[in-house]
Amino acid sequence: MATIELDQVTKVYPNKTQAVTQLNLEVADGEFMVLVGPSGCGKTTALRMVAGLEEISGGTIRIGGRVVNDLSPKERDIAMVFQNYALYPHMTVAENIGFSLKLRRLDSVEIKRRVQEAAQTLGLEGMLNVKPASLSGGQRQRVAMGRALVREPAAFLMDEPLSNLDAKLRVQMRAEVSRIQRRLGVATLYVTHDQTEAMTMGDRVAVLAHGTLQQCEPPQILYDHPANLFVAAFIGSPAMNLYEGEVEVAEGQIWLRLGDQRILVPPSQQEARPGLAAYKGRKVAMGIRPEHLAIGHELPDNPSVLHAEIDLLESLGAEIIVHFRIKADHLRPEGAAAEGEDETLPLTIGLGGSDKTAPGVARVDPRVPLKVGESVTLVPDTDHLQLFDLETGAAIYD
Amino acid sequence: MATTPASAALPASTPSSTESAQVVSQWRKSRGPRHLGNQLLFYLGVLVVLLIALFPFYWILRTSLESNSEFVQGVGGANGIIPAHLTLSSYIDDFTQLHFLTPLINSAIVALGCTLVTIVVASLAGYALARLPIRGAGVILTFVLLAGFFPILALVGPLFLLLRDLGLLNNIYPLIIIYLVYTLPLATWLLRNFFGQIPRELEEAALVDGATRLQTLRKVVVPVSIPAVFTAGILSFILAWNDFAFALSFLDTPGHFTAPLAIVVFGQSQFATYYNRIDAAVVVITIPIAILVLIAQRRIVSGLTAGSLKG
Repeated sequence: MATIELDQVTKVYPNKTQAVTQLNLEVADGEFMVLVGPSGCGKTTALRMVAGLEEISGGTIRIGGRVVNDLSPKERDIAMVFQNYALYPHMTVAENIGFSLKLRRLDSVEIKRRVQEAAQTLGLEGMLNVKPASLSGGQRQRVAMGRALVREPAAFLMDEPLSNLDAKLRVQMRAEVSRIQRRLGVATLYVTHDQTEAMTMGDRVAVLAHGTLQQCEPPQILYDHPANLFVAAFIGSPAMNLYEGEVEVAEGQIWLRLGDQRILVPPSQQEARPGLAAYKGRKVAMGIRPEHLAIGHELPDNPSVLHAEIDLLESLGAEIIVHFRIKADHLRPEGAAAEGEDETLPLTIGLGGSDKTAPGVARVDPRVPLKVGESVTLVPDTDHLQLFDLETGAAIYD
Repeated sequence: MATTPASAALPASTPSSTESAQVVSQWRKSRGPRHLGNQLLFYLGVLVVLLIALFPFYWILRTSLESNSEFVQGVGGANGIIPAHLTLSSYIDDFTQLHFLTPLINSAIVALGCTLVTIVVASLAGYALARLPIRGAGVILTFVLLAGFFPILALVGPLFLLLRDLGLLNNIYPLIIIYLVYTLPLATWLLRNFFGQIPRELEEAALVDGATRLQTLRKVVVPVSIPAVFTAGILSFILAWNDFAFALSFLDTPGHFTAPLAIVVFGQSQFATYYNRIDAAVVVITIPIAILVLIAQRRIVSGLTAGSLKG
C-alpha cells in the first residue's frame, strides 16, 4: 500500500532525445492511474523510470513517500506486467508466479499457498505445472498478472499488458484487471495507447504527448472538458470534430462563424468561458463531439444549424456514424487519428461552391432515414461546444 | 400422413450426412492411386539419397570387420558386400599391437579441454557483445567471423614457429589453445546470436521480481541459454576432435599423437596399407561424435524461448 509520486521527472537519452519532460504525477494509494498517449510519447519510458529499469535524468520519484531515484528495481517493491509477458520459459507456471517469493526466501509452504491463491484469482489452477510454451496468449497474460499480484507489492506497473490479446479477450481481461486491482487496492500505473482502455479502466487518466503531461483527470472530465486541442482530438472515438471558426459579435450575441455559416454561442458557454470575450474578431478552434450533432431541421427559434453533405454512412446497429463534409476550415491537430484509425477519409463531392470543405462525423439514431450525397441540416448541441486558442491549443476558459 | 415440414426434415438429415461421407470416400478413392504413386516415388528418392550418403560408412564398417588375410585378398567371391568372415581382429590389433588407447586419451584431453575453454570464453564474449553497449561491437564481430574463415594451413607456419620458440612442440596441451582457432569464432557467434534473442524483458522481469544482476544471470539467463551453450560445446568438441592439420604439424612422436593422426600411421607396413585397421579406428573415433550428434539433435537451438513471449 503506497503512493507513487513523480516530481519534475525528466528523461534525456544519451543521444539527447528528450523522452519525458518535467512530468508531475501523483498516484494515490489504491488508485488506478492510466498513462495514455500516442506511441513515442514517453509513457513507457516514464513507467520504466518508476520501475527502476531506466535511469532518471532529473526530478524525483517517490514510492510510498520514499525517494527511489537511486534504488534498484529489487529495492522498490513494485511488480510489473510487461507488454510481451516476459515469462521465464524454463519454469512452470507455478515457478513463474512464485519466483519473486522464492527470491525473498519465503518458506515453500507459504509460497505454495500464495501461488495457489493467485492461480485461483486468475483461473490458472489447472495449469500450474505446465511450461509457458503450452499456454495460449490469454493464459500467458494471466500468468504475467499472477506473477505481479502474488507479490503483494507497494505498486503495480503495467506496460500495455492487454495489447497482445485479441479483441474479445482484451475486453474480458480489461474488466478482470480492473476488478483485481480494485480488490487488492494497490496503487497502479497502467500504460496504454488505447483510449478505450484508458477511459474504462482508469480512476484518472494522464494524457502524455511528446513527453509532456497534457492533462490528468478522471475519464469523464477528460472527455467533457479537454484541457487542450491534443486531448480533445486524442480522447474519444470517433474523434471530436474540430474546425477553425471566427468569434463574431452581432445582435448583442456571440457567434462562431464557420465558412459562410454561423452558430450561436449560448449564454451557458459565455458564462463558463469568460475568456472568450477577448477573442472577438479572432479565430479560434471549435470542437464538437459526434454525439452532440443531431440531424434535424431548421427551426425559426434555433439559429444554430450547420449545413452539410453526407459522404459515407456506417451503421453500427445501435447508431449510425455519419461522415459528412461541411464548408469550413478543417483542423487536424496531431493525435486526432488514434492508432489504427484510417486517416484517409473519402474524398468529397463538394458542396456546390468552390470553397474548401472539411470532414466531420456525427453519431445519430439509426432510424433517421439518410442517403449518401444528401444535404442535411446538423443541429449542434451548443452547450457542449469546445473552444480552444489556435496558437497555444489551450481550452478557452478564463 | 400428415407430417409437419419440421418433423419431415429431421430424418432427412441423417441420409444426407451419410451421403456426404460417401462423396468424401469416393473422392479419396479416386485420388488414391495417384497419391500412392507419389509416395512411392518420394520414398524411392529418399532411399537413393540414403544409399549414396551411407554407403561409404557401410564400407568403412564392413572393411573394419575383415581379417588381415581377407583384406589382402580383396573383395571378390565369397568376400562380397558382406565379408566372408566377420571378425573383430582389426579392433583388437588396434588396441593391442598399435596402442590406440593412448592417442584416444590424448584426443579426449585436447578436445574436452578446448571445449571447456571455448564455452567459458565464448559465453562471456557472446553475452558482452549481445548486451553491453560496446563501441565497435559490429567490427569485433566481423573480425571474429573473418578469423573463423581464415585458412587453417596459413596458420600452421606461424604457429609452428611460435611453438618451436616456446619449446612446446610435440606436446598435446598447447593444442587446447590452438584449437580455439576452430571453435571460438563459431561458438562466439552462435552464443552472441542466442543471447541477443533472449528478450531483455526477461531479465528486466527478474530484476523487478527482486533478483540481483547476478541472480538474473544465474537463474534466468543461464538456464534459458543451456541448450545453446550445449550446442556450442558439442560443435566445438567435434571440431577439436576431428583436427588433423595442426596435430600433424606440431606432434611427432606416436605417444603424443591424437587419434586422427595415429590412424594414418596405423595401416602402414612396409608392404601394404591395412585399411581394415584404419577403418576399425575410424569407427572407434566416430562413436563419440555420433553420440554427441544424437544428443544435440534433441537440443536444437531454435524454439528455446518458446512460450516466454507472446508468439
